[in-house]
Amino acid sequence: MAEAIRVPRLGLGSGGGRIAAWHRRAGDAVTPGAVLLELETDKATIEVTAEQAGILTGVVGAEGEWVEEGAVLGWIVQPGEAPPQAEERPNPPAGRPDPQAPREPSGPRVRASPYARRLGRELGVDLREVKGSGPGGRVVARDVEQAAQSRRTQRMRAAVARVTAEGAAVPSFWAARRVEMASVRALLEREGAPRGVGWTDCLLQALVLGIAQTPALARARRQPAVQVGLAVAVPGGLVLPVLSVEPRTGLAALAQARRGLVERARAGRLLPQDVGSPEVILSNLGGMGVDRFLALLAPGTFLALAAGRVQEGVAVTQGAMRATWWAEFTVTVDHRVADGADAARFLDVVAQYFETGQGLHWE
Amino acid sequence: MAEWTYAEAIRQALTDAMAEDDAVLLLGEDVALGGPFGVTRGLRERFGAGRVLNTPISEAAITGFAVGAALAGRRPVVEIMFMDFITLALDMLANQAAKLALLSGFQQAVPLVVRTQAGIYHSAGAQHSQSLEAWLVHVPGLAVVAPGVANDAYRAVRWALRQPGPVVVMEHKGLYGRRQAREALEWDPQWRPGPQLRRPGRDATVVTYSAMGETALAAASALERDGISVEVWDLLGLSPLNLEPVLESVRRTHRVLIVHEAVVTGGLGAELAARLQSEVFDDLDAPIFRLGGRPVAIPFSPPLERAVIPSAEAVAEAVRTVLA
Repeated sequence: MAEAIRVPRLGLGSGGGRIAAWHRRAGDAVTPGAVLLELETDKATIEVTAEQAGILTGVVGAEGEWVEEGAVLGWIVQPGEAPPQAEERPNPPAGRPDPQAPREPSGPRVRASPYARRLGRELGVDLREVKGSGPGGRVVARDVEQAAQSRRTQRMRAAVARVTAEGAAVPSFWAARRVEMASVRALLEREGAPRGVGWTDCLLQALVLGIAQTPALARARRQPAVQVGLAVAVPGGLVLPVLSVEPRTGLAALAQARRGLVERARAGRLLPQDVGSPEVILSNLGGMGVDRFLALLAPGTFLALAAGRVQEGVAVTQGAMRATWWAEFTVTVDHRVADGADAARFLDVVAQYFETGQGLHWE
Repeated sequence: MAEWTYAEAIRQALTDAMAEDDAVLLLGEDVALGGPFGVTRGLRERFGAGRVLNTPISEAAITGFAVGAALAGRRPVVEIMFMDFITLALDMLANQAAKLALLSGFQQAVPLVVRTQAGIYHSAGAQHSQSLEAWLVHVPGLAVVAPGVANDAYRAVRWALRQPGPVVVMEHKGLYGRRQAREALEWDPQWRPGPQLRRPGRDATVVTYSAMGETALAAASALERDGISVEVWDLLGLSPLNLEPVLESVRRTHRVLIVHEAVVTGGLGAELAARLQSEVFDDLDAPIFRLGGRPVAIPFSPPLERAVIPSAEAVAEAVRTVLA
C-alpha cells in the first residue's frame, strides 16, 4: 500500500514550512523511521520520516521551496507498485506571494554589498524589495537582516490572526475566580525551597490536576499526560510550544522542562517534540503586571487558563480583616466539551491547590 | 612586571643572537657608538671591534660588504640609518641578496639582516622620515617584518637571524622609547611573524602595522565611547604575508579599513585590499578603505608633518566611513 509523504502539522499557525533538505532521493529504498527530508518553520527544523519500508518515488518540492501543511511531497511504494496520481499541490493563497523562494534578480541591477547579496540568498530575501541604507542607497547586510526579521514578524502576525479567528469560531464560555496564594507563596519562598520553581510551574501542576479531577475535562484529554501549550512571548509575536504534563510530574522536573522549552522558544530553536498539538493552553501574564484577562482557545484546544498577577490584598474571614496574597484566574472552555459547572469544579481544584497546597508536590 | 623599551628589546635580541652564534656581526654607520637611537649601545664593548663594525657613509658599500660576508658564512646585521637611504642599498638587496640563492642553484644562501629606521619622528625632514616598505615587499626573496611593540621587535630580530635568506627589519623611530611589559625571554623556534590581535572587536576590522598600531588603538578607544567596536590587527610580517587570522576577522566584521603611515598610492594597502577582497568578497558589506600618508614629501614643519600621516581622529573618521 503506497504511503503518502505529507507536510506534517508543524505547530500552531505555521501553515507550512520550507524544505531545508532532502535526505533521500526518488528511487531510494527506505526503512521505517528513515529521515526523508527536513522542514524549516519559523520555530524549528522538523524531520519527516518514513512510516513504512519501501521505495521513495513521485518526489515533488525542491529544497528551499515553501510547502503547505498537508501537501504531498512524495510516496513510498512497494516494489512494482506505481505511485497514485499526484495530488494537485495547493497554490499559495492570493495576496500572499511565496515568501520563501529567492527569485533571480531581473530588471535594473540592485546596488548591494557582496555580503548583503549572500545574506539575501541565504535568508531568501529579494534585494529588489529592500531599501538600501548604505552610501548612495546601497543595500547592506543590516537592511537584509531587517527585511528578514520583518518578514518573520509578518508571518507570525498572520499566524496569530489565523489562530485567533479559528479559535474565536469555537463555541466557548469563560469563568473567573479570585484565589488566595499566600500558602503556596510561602512554600515557594521558604528557605531551602528548590531554586528556579516559579508560579508558572505551580500553574502547570494545578491545571493538570484540575483537568484530571473534573470528569468532563478528563474525558476530553487524549491521555493522562496533558499536552499543554505554553504561551511564550517572542520578538514579533508569540509561540505556543507544547509541554507534556502528567498529574504526578513534580515541580522540580516541571520547572526544568519549562525553562528549557521557553529558552528554546525565545531562541527560535524549538525541537520537533516541542511543536506538537496542544490540548489546553496556559497563559501567565501575571509576571507582567496584568490583573486579569481572557485567554483565547486555539484550534484543537478545549481549555485555556489565564493567570493574573499575584498581589497583596485583604481577606475578610468572619468579619476580621487580614493581609494576604491574591491572584485572579480566568478559564475559557470549549462549550462542546464542558459546561459552567465543570469550569467551576476545575477552578475549585485550582483554588484548593493554591489555598491549601493540596496536590502540590516537588518530586 | 619588568618592562622594556622597543630599543632595549632589539638590543637584547642582538645580544642574545651574538652570544649564541659567533657568526653574527653588526655593521653600519655609528653602530659601534650605539647608533642614532642607542639600539646597539654597549655591544662593541661586549663583543669587540671584530663583530661590531663602524662603516663609512655608503649604504651600497655596507650592504655589498654584508652580502659578501653572508656568502662567506657569516650572519651580518646591517643597520641602514634611516630607511630613506635604503634606496642606495636597493641594488644589493633586490638584485644580489634576494637572488643569489636562485642564481647559485641554491648552493649559496644569503643570511643577511637589514635593520632600518622608518617613519616620522620629530621633524626629521623629507629625507629622514619615509616608510618605504612597499618597494621592498615587491622583491621576491626578500622578507620584511615591521614590529609595532617591544616584544614583537625582540622576536622579529631573533626570527630574522634564523632565516636562510635576507630579511629587512623595519623599525619605527617613534617607537624606540615605547615601553611594554616584557614577555618571557625564551625564544620559541616555532614562532613566525604573523598578524597579532591588538584589540578584539565586532563592527569593523582595522589592519595595520608598525607605529600605526598605536594610532589605530587610540581610534578604537575613542570609537568605543560611541558604541563602535573595532578589531585591530597588527600584521607584523609584511612579506611573506600571512592573512589567515585577518580573513577570519573580516568574515565576522564584514568591514575593513587598512591603515599605514606610508603614502597610500602604490602602498602595501593596495596589496592587502586586493588579497582581502579576492578571499572574502562575499563577506564584504562595504568597500575596503585605505588610509595612509598623503602623497607629498614629508614637511619639516611640525604641524604640517602631523598633517600628512593618519591621526587617531582620521582613523576614527575612516572607520565611520567604512561603517556607513
